[in-house]
Amino acid sequence: MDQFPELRVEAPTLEPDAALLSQLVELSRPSRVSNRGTHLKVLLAAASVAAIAVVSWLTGSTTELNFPSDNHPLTPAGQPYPVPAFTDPTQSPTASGEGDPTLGTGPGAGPSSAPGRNSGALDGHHLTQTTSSPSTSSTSDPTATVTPSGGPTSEPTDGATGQPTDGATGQPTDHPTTGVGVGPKSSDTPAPGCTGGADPSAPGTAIPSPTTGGSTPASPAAGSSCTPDSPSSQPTQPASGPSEGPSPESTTGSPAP
Amino acid sequence: MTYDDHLIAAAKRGDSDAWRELYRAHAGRLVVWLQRRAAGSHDAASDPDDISNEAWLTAARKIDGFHGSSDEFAGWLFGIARKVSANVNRTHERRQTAPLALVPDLPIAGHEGAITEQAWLDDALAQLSPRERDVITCTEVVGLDVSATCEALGMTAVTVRVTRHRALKRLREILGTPVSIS
Repeated sequence: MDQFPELRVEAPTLEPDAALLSQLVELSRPSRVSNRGTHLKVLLAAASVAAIAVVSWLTGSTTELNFPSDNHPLTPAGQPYPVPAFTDPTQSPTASGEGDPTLGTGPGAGPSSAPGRNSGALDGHHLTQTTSSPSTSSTSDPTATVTPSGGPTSEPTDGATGQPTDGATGQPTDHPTTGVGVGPKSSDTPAPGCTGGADPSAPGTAIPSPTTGGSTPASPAAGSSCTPDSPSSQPTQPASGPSEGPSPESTTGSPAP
Repeated sequence: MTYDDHLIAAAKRGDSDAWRELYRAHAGRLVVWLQRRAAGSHDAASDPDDISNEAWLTAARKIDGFHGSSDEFAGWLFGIARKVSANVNRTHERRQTAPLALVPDLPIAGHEGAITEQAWLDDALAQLSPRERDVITCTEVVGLDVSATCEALGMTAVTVRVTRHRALKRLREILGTPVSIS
């Protein structure tokens, strides 16, 4: 490598300055400490990240576990609440066996007011009228529909045609208040003390409303469905209307064969 | 895996004697090398002694990251000095300073021969490219080996060898012709 020995310069031997030497010693000593400090910092950062990750994971897992325990099925986005299955209103109420409270088509729009709905299906006027009296649904006590002869479903009902029957005779009646598919009008005479809507066999009968007065027509069917002992079945003379029909005593009569 | 010799290990522990030995072994060559590199620029701000001291302080801070023998320490130290010098040159270019010119080497009675030789060497190296001057300074003037030169200049061994070969060829051409001696 010494092709040009004249280029070689004899480098002098220099002695380090005391200040420089002390700085060299000081800088070389804490370098290891700083290296350890760096390792500690790295370990601390890694531990912090791991702790945060674990906490986040646990929080997410517990939140996910809570969802199935609620037993609330998820609904689609367009339906904020579950919608019951649609039932054909033209269906026989007896076939369906339950009323649709959302329709509000009968005086007994409650759970046991299927006849009302049936009649409402036959007459649109009845629909609009009966829905205007929501308090009638509260009177549709199933106990009021109990006839002397049997349970609430003992009345003959032509569910298929919606033909009301006379509760006392079991025959179709031509009474104006119990006309076929004709719902009670506001001018109809209410059946005194009768919860008309409680009679499942009287689809056209309305329900006596203590607030509205004569919104409940009197009908044999309605009368037959009233229990004489019931306070709500006290016969009251209607002001007007064609409800001069059978008295409540007639309800005790045995139905026609 | 390169293991530290006893001198480097002692320096890592902060032994002052070890640092003194290292300084004695490499500081002179480092200053000479920096003087040769700074021969082209007459910037008083880039004093070779200052750059050398800064390089030593940086080496003391980074000594834990170095592994090798004392000879390998020379190349590592020269590399630090090269980077420090480059930073200093960039700083001076950015500041647009007007450095004072170095006081020219005046002939001193009784040392004419040495001064003339120094001037002849400076003129010969000034005709080389910067890269060739660096390589020749490391290998021929200071006496570093190829590996240390690679470490000091940040070059590969092949590049160092090729550059050295071209530089020596040019020096022969230059020395064959009369070199103007100021």
